[in-house]
Amino acid sequence: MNTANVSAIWITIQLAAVTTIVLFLLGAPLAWWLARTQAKGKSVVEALTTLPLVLPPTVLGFYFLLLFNPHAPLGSFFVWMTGETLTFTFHGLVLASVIYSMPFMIQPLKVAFEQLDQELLETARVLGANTWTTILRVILPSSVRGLLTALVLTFAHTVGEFGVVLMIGGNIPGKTRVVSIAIYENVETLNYADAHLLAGGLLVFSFVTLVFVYSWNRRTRIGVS
Amino acid sequence: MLRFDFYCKRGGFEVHVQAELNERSATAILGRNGSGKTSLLRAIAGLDHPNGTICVNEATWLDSASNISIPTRKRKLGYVSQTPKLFPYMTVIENLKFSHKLAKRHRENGSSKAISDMIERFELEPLITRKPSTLSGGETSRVALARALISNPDLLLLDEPLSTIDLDRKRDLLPYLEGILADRPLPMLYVTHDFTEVARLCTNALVLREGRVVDSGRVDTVLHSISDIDMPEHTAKSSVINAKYENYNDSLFLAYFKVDDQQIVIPMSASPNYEGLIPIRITDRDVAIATTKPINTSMRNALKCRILEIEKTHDSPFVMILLTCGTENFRAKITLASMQELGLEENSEVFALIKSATLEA
Repeated sequence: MNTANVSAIWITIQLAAVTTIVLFLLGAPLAWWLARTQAKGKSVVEALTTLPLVLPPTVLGFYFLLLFNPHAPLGSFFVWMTGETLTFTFHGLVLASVIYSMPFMIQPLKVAFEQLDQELLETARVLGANTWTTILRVILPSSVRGLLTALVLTFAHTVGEFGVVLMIGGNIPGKTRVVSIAIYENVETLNYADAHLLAGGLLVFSFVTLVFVYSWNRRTRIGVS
Repeated sequence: MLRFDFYCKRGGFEVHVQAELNERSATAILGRNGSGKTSLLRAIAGLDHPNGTICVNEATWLDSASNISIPTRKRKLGYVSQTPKLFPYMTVIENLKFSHKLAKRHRENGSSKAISDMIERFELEPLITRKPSTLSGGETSRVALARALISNPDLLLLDEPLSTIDLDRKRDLLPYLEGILADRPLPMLYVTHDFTEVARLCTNALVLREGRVVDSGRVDTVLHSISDIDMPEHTAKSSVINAKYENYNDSLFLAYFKVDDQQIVIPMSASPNYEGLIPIRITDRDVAIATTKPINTSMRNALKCRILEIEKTHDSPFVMILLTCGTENFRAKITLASMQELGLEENSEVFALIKSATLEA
C-alpha cells in the first residue's frame, strides 16, 4: 500500500478517536440530563441531537461550510483564537464529526441512564458516596453495556463518514484525507487495487465491530439476569 | 437519641410526624400499607425532602427554619430497604469493601467496624467471592445488613428487610439482628408487619396511620392497645407478655417459662440462650377459656387469670376478653355464645388455655 493510503488510515483513526473522546465528554452529561429531566425544552433538544441521523450529510456539510468559513462569526473566532481556519483542517473535521456522530453517542447512553436502578443510586448516597464516586463506581459500571455500545458505534460511524468530510475538509493528503475519501479518489483515478484494499478493510472492520457490539450486548444481558 | 418533627408531601400523600426516641434500642414502626412508614424512613435518610427538624444524637440533620439540611451521604446512617440492593457488578466482598472505604473517606472518625467482624457475625465467609445475582433472598439481606453496619452508623433504618424471605429463613436472621443490638446498641427504626420480630427486637413502638403518629411507647403497651385498623389485613391480633425463662428440656424439646409463678411451655428445637424476661407473643384467637382447670387435654398451658374487661362489638359473633395474670395482660377471642354459656363477666377467675405450639418467644 502506498504511503498516501497509510496516512489516510492514520488520519481516520485519529479523527474517530478524538471525536469519540470529545463526544463522550460532552454527550454523557447531555444524555444524563435528557434521561432525567422533565423540562419543557426536552423534546426540542432530543430532536436536535437526533437530527444528524436523518439529514443528508450534504445538508450538514453545507451549513458547516457557512458556519466555519473564516468570514462567519464562528470561523473568524476560531482563526482569531488559533490562527488556523476551521475549513479544510483537522480541527474542522473533528467539530463536524462531533455533530454528525452525536446521535450514536447520545441515544445508547440516554437509554442506559433511563434504565439505571434508582435505588442503587440511593444506596450509594446512603453509604456516603459523593457525586464523582457515584459516577465512577455506580453509574458507569451499571451502564457499561450502553457505554460500550455508544463508544464503539460513535467510533465506527465516524470512520464511515464521507459527505460531511468531503464538503468541510476537502481532500488534502496527510491533513484531511480520510479512508472514505481515499477510496473515492482511488476509484476516480482507476487505482482499483488500493480501492479494494481500503474498501475491503472498512467492510471487515465495520462487520467485526457490529458483531462485537451485538455479542457483547447478549453476553452482558445474560450475565445480569 | 433521635428526635424528629417534620412534614412532607409525596405524591398526593402527606406525612406529618413527630417523635422523640431516647433509647439506644429498636423502635418498631407499625401501621398498614400506605400509612407512611417508608416515607418516614426516607425522610430521615434525606432521600425525600421534608420541612421540619431531625436530630440524631448531638447532630442536626435537618432544621428547615435555619436552612440546615445535611445531605444523605453525610448522615451517619445505615438503611436497608424492602428489597435490599447490592451492587450487581461487585462481589459480596467488594460490596462490603466499598461501604468500608466510603465510611472511612467521608465520615470524620473512621472508626468503621472491621469488615472481617461483619463477615464473621453474619457468617458470610462462604459467600464473599459470589456475585449478588447468585445469592438467595436471605443471603442478600445478610450482606445488605452487614454492609450497612460496616459504616458504623449512628442510626439504623430497616424497612421490612426480612419481608422477601420466607418465614423460616426470617427466623434464622433474627438472631443476627439481636446480636447486633446486644453488642453495640444503637437507635434503630424497624418497619415490619411481623409481631414476632417486634416482640423480639424492639423495646418501643410507634404506630402510623394516614401519615400521622397515632400511638407510641413501650412495645408491649402499644401492642396491647393497637387497633385493628392499624394492622395489615389478614393479620391475627396478638398480645405480648413478659415471661421469665427457667430451663430447657432437651428430651421433650420444651422451654419452660414462668409468668406470675405459673408455668408456660414453648416447644423449641434447640436450647435458647435467653436470660431474664422474654417477650412471648399470644395470638388472640389461639386462647380458649375454661372456668375450671381442665384435665386430660393436650393443651399444655393453662394460666389462671382474672377477666379485666370484656369487649363486645356490635354485629360480631366474637367477643374480646382482656385477661390479667399477675402483671401481664393478654387477650382471648372467643364466641359470644361461649361467653354466655360459661357465664363470664368482669373479675371472673378463669383459666386461659393456650396450645403451646402457637406460642412464639
